[in-house]
Amino acid sequence: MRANLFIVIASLLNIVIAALSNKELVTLSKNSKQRIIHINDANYKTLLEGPRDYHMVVLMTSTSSSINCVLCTEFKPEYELVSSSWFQDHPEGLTEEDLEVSADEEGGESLSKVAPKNIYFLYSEFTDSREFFGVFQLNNIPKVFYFPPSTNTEKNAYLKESLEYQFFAGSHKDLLIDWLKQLTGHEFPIYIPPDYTKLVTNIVGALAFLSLSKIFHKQLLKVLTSKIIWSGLSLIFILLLTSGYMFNQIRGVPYVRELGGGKIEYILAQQQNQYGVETQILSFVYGCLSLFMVILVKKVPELKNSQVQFITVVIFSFLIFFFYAILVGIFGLKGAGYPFKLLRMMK
Amino acid sequence: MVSEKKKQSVSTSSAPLKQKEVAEVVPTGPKILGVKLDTIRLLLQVIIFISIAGASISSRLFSVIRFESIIHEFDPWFNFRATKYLVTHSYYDFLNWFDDRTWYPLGRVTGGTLYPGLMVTSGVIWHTLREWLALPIDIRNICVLLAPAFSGLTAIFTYFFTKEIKDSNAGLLAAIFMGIAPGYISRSVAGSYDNEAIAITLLMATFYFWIKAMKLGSVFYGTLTALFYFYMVSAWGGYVFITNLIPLHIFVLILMGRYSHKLYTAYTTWYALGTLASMQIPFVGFLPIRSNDHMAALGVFGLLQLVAVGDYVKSQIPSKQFKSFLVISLVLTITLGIIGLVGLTTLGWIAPWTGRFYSLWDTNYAKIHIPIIASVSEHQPTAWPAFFFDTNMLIWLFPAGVYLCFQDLQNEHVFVIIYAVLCSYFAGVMVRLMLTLTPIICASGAIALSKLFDVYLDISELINANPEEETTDKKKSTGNRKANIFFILLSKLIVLLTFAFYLFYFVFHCTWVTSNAYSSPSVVLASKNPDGSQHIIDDFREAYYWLRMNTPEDAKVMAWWDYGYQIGGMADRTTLVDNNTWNNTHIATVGKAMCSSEEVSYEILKKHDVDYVLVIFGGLLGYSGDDINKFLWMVRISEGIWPDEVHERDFFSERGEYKVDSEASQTMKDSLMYKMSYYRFNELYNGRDASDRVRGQTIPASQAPELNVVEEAFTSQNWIVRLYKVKDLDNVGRNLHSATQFSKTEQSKRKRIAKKPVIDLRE
Repeated sequence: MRANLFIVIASLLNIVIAALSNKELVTLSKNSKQRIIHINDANYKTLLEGPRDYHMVVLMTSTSSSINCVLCTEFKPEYELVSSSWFQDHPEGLTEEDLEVSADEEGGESLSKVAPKNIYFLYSEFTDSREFFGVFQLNNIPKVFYFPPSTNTEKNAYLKESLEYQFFAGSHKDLLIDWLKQLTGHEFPIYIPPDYTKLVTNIVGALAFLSLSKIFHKQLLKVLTSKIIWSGLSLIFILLLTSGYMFNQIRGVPYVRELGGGKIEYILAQQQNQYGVETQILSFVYGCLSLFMVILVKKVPELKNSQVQFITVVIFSFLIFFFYAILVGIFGLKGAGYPFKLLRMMK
Repeated sequence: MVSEKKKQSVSTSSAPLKQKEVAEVVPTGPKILGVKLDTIRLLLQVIIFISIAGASISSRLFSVIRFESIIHEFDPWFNFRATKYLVTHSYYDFLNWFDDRTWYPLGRVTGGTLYPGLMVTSGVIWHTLREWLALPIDIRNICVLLAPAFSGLTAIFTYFFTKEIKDSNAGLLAAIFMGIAPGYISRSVAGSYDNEAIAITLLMATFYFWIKAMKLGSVFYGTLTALFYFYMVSAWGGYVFITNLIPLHIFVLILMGRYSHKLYTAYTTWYALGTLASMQIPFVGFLPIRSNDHMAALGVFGLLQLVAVGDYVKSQIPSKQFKSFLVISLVLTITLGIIGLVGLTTLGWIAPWTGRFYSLWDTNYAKIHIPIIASVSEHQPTAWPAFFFDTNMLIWLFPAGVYLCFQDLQNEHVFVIIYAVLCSYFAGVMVRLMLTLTPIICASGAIALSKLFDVYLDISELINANPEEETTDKKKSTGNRKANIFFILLSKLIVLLTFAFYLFYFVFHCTWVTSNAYSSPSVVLASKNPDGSQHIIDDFREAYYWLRMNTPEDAKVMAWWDYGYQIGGMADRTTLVDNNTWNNTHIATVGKAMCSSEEVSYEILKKHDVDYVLVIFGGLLGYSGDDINKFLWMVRISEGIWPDEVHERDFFSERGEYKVDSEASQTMKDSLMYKMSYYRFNELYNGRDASDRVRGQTIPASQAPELNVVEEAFTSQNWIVRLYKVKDLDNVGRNLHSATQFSKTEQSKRKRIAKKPVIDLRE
């Protein structure tokens, strides 16, 4: 934190704009566990302007919930993993020895090849670096930019030098590593840090579960043999799955879409696609219809008074009709020129 | 009291509303008009069956009526070709069939790598009709109509299945639902000559006999289950579903403490016979004892033996000792079993889960590891409209039915519940597995609906109410009682009429869906003329027929794998890859040839003896299933094999978009696929910028592609199919590029007459 403050102050006082040295960057990177340097409006000029003797990779993203970017949250941990793995091999960056050894190994070829240089991973969060995002004129996130070593002293030279990473389907870390390998010539072995907290919580959880089940085994047995719980679980499962829950999981579709002017679109007018909220709407509708059906079959005949029975039947028949009409109406909204509707509700 | 009355009325056959017959409810009299009640019931049932079968068959004939008796889509063409081989050769020839006309130059051991059930079925029908009934029917017509015929049988087996779960009323409803539910029709319209066409019938039959065997503990029904299981194994790879569902059923029953000798008899009979029988299919072979997909069945078989021993020991020794015996033996067997399974798998004795199966659980698996599986459209996850589209009102009757099964919870209800839960998951993950979910949706929907009808069609209450009330409270006025009866009647009427309305709507929905969505052969496309009449687009057959008539019989045609079966079936030419995607490398080779530059491609083409290259191009007509839209998959699949030479990124424009217009990347413009698709496309627009109607982009005249290594051989009427002939090496040893340049200058001197295709039929 102190180092960070120092940098900020230094950057404000800096008259001649020049990038930081390797040493400064290494210390800066030690601020975070994953060895990622946080870049924001306050320090981006210091970090990026001027000539530099190392590679830089910047991830511009946002994990804030208001932006709700699926790819961002998916990508960030993999990016952190690549960074932490790199610094696990080179805790102080590439040392002089590293550089010499690799030069020796390559021997005569080293002249033609670019000498290996350090690489630093940077990360910026949209909420505290709006100006920085503005400089790049970004329309969508996440973006990964690569800045090669350069000698250019012009102002804003980094904008021209940057290379953008293309997001493709597949394993993000492999793709990112391939890309970086091409650009820097480094190997990036991956070290997945063993998650001790998870291990411990798992063991503790398992033990707690075992001891609790030993103590409460009678109650547990009751729960496990309870018809209501099993039927409830199965029905919820079925209702969710028949309303496209797995589709949301696999495709990672947005929950709703905000149209301009404060309008929100809830139903996507495509047959083969949907929003997250549709699963909720549909499972609710299906659930209600099933429930009414069960009431008609099971509960109504138990009523003794025929007039009460009549009124309940009328109410539930109407409810079934109404919900079914809603269902057909929603399906009509999905396009494909569906010709049937039970009620004229919408234009 | 109430339940007893219900039982009485249930026993009378109340026909579902689809049929016009009104069931007579006479609770006491065994005879109506001097005819026995059973006879009437039998008669009614037969009539209902016939009309259900009629409905299910006729609703599948839209495609034959609209188009013609033609085999649909892709896979059916292979099945058709194999059937023709079977009826022209002997059965043993068929099993030993080595097909050198596909997967050139590798060939395919077709006899050992297909499920022969479908072909054998139609072969048997063909022989029976021809030799025993003297009805020589073209094998094509048998193939086209096989699926509708079997759908009638499916309806009947669904009836028996549901009858075992509830009663014959529910059975009849389930049968008619199954007959017309679009979820099943989608794979069984006339012409859709695919394994699923008969597999669903066999699935229902196997399940019916299984329920029967399990209920009765009968070796006979267990054997029948095994027999139909064998038939199923011979017909469809989806048999693994049965292989896992039945053991799971047994396993759950054991956990519920419902072990009995009946279960033991039924399961062991089925497992022993069924496994032995299934190993007779060459394609399956030793899989049942060597692959993890089948291990659950084996494990439950072993478990059942232990439970049987335990059961015996329990009856012999005091319960305290039995408890410790039970605990120790359970822990021992489970650890031993797991260690054994893991050990054998690592040693390679047992194959690990197959990729296709595995991708069901880890939904990202295929996307990352097996692009060829992920690329198939029917392996995509299902959005909710598909469920409603395929089953309409049944989708919300389905949970109600499952709930009602929980209320009874006999052994067979447990089966329905397991089936429902598992298959909802599968259908949610993969669109094509909607097919296996449909039967259980129909059955449980029918159970829910028939329970409703049991309650509201039951008017015995009204008739029997009189004496009871008179004895209990005589003083109540008759007016009050009449009002009661009136309200009861009215509430029954309301429910019945609304549901009758829903059933009518269901029928309309199914008919609409079938006729609009599932009846296109996709080999022949239909569009509407401005006056509303139908215009048939027959480019595929036009091109395939051209191939058949104008190329040497041993010509090798290269096309993307989607069209392999069709080329084999319709054009009868040798292909490099086809829809049986057994060799990923070979497919990647074709992909590489398509996405590389001409020089690189030419080498591949020559090495593989390719004479013709076929591409599908929809840009003129707006046919969206064309090769440019599938192009990225070709790139991805070949990138998987040659990561150094092919890069997906190179095919995107600078802004990362997939473009074919002026912004297209250089690699894209250089690729053979791009060139073959847009070759001479601008000439259609008199040399101006051409517009691609699928992607809504313009192809500038300045970047009209030039072809050096192949030459245009044929382009179909609407340009959907384009065929190119691979040029020979140049006579005087020039490279093909300079040869083309030379002849071009020659031609321009002689003023070339451009041959334009007729284009007046478009718009």
